[in-house]
Amino acid sequence: MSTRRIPRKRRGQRHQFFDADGVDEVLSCVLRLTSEVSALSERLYLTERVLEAQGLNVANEVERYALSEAEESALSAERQRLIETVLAQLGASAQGAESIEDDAGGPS
Amino acid sequence: MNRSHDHDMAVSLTQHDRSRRAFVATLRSHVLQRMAGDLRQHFEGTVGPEHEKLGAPLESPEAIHEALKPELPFKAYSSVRTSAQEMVFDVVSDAVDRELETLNERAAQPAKKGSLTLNPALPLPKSVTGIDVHLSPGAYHEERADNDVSAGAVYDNSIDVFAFGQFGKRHNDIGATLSNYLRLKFPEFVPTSILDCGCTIGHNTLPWAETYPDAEVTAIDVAAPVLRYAHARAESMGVPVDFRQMNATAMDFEDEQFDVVFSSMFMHELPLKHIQQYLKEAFRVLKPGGVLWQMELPPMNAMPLYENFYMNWDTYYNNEPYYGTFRKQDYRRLLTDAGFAADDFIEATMPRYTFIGEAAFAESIHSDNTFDTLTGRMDPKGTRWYGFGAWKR
Repeated sequence: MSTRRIPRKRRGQRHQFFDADGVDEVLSCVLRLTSEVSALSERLYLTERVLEAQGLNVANEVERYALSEAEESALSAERQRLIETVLAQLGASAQGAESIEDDAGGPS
Repeated sequence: MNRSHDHDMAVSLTQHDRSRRAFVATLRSHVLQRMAGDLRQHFEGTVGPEHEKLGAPLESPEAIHEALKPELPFKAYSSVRTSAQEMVFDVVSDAVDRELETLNERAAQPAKKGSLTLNPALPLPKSVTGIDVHLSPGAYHEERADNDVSAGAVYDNSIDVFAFGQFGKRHNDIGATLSNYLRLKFPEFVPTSILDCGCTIGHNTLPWAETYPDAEVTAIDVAAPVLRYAHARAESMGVPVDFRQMNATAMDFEDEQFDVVFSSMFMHELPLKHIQQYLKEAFRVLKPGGVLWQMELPPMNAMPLYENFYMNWDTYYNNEPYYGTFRKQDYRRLLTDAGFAADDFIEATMPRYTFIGEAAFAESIHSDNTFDTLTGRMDPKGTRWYGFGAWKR
């Protein structure tokens, strides 16, 4: 037998607790996303501590750092991309979904 | 890199794994304490009194359930708790997937102390195969490779997240509490053969070997992946246990073979018919003078009304369909129907042995039983396990 991946979705229907369709699923997405955000912020915290141990006080320097116009615009574009990605997952922004598919070279 | 446990079947955890696990454990703790507290307050402060004013007080767990269903605190609690439960398995499966081949090879090493006897011809009950119990994808029996231990590894890792430390450092507190209760309460009783039924990964089997080091300990389960894992885990901890693939409702053992038959969190996952068959089998394999002693959910007739509604949430929403029917039973009657005498029934509510230590535990075994919000639940404020069983004369 070749090794199969552990399934990530259980068998059977999920229970619906909220009256409107999809609310439970969206809440589930939000919680999973929050777990990733939590993991990322912990990673950043640890990175700062590691750098601090190397003599680099990154946390202080980050607070003092002034973004250039080009950097502001790059970050803004990244924010936009993130919003489009999140909304595309929920099917709430067809425009966003198309542009992501274009970026990835079309639907596979 | 960190390891998940202090035994050889542990998996390596990345920082990302550890952060996600910590998040889900915190989320579960939040749901079971804060959101559960909000739900109770909403019932006691609003929904309960409103029904009383209308002259229709809520007098059964089912009535409370129906009355709370449309209420936001119930919807929020239930929806978040369901997601948190799904996330438990989600966050532990990555590490197990990454290392599964190594784990399976490690589990195949020859035994040094105990043994593993599998029976590939054993039919698996529908109550096991028909449902992903606890919302765990693939449950305890599915095999994904030759000599597979993945279900056992997922279970061991999931307890870390699911129980957020409340089952003890090696997930062994239930076994430690029940075995030490027997040792301290009945010092003249010294068992030499002990059986654990529905043992999964043997986490509550091993403390019996520690409490009674001269006893032979046997543990059975229907699911091969958890038994392979249990065996390898016990071997790496140096605890001799004979693990056998067997159905507790039809055991292969001779009559009168064991001094103790133990189970933990087992019967509430079985249909009533299987519970009855299991208890008859337990009576049969017990020696005269032996004892059936098991940790379970406290019975409905002993618990306050709201606790019964709250505990039964799992039977509706956590893929544990037999749980409600089990809790409705008169436990003493279940045992007398299986052959035990009514006078030989024993039950106790016990503080957690590995949390409070020998001296405080020894003192506690003389106090009266307490059935309240801490009984049978996982609560950092001080869980109390419920045990019941009977002597066989």
